[in-house]
Amino acid sequence: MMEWLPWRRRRRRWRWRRRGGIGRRSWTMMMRRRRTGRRRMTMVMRRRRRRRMMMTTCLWTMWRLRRSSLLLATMTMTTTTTTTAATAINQPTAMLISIADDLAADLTALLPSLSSDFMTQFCQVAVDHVTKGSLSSSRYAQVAKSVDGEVAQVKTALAALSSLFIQCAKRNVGEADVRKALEELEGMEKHAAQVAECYGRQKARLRAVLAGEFAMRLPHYVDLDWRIDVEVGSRALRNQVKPTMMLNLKTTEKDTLLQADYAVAKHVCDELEQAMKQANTAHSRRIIKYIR
Amino acid sequence: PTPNQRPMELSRSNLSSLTRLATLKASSFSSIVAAACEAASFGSSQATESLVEKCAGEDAADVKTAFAGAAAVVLEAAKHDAAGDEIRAVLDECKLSEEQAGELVKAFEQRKKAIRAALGRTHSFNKDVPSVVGIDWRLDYYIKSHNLEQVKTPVYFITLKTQTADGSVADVRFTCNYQELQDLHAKLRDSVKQVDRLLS
Repeated sequence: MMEWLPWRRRRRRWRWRRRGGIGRRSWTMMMRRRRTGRRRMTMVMRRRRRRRMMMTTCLWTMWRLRRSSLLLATMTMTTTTTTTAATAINQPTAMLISIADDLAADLTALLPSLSSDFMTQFCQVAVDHVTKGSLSSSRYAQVAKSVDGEVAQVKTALAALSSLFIQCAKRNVGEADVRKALEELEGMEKHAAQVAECYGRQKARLRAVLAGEFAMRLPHYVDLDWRIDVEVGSRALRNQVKPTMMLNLKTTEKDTLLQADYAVAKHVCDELEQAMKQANTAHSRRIIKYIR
Repeated sequence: PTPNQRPMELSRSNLSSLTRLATLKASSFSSIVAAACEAASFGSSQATESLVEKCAGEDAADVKTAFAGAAAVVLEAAKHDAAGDEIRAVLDECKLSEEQAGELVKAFEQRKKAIRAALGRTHSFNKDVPSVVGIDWRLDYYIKSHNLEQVKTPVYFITLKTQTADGSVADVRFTCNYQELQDLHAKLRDSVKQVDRLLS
């Protein structure tokens, strides 16, 4: 191979190869290309070269990023998106919220004057106000007495705080964003952390209430009881085997009694299997991934 | 048939009707036997209605009596799932010739399955309970509602089509999420497996 080079260059080339310069295969390819004398690169050759370059670059970048935590974060993100469609992605996104003027006025009317113990109690009462509806007048009076304020003022402040909790829970706002928004209101700086902490603790419960009691009531599946009866004989016909299934379908609205025979039950089973498979198709995953 | 089961029983009037059947002509005999099998399987009543016209030479009362006897023996044989020998034994008692008995047994064997299916359908204690005839499903992705944003859960809408004994169709609708659908599917598959085990 190297006989055609002069002595000094031959030695240099040999040392360079020994040190592991260009790989042997590529050396052979280069020599072959030189020998064939092809000047122009064909489309196929260009594509192959491009593909190899892309592959090697990606691998190199991956290796570089492996050291940094960014790849660890991207790896966890990819694992969450590749889980089945059954898991809901309910990560609270960071958002900048600003409280409307009238709501801010209602909040700052009474709340800044409360001490931190009363503030915790007040937050709890506000959460009860959301979950159980309007409270009894004696409860209002009790809160007003412990806070040393008027009943009307207490009612307005409670309504304002409940409204804040509802709106934040509806939009799935994070605790930190609530605290930042409250800190901007004058007089609420010392209570912002407390209110935000109460909101963070009760957020799941608030969302459950909004999803359950105040949402559209569609009949939701609860349970299915089944029973197999085999008709062995009757007055008109002896020696028969006729299996029937009695089903008690329980939903949130009512219990329905149904019967089905073997063929229909099998068909229903197959259709439900098809329905379950549909949730894990690429199309469903794409929708879940791209709709934010 | 198990030893505890009572054998085929025909009343005295049915037996006398069968002896009357034996005395008829061959063509009338065939048409009466065919009509009896047709009537027993709850098929169209055309054969029965035109029976008297077909058996032109015979007395109408004789034809009707013979038809009643033939229908009774066919129904009783279907009820007990009787073999050919048992039926021949009964028919021999009523003095039917071998050819006539053979013809009746052959016609009966052809229609036996249909007759038994028809008899199985005659009564049902669960007339009020609707039976499931079909299922429709739909998969949605619940994004937000007026009360709650950022929901993002897949939800299934299932519709079970039901039919009552008098033919009226109704729908049973409900929603469920993926886990509940898995639960429902597991329960149904369980019951289907039990029936499979029973039938095998």
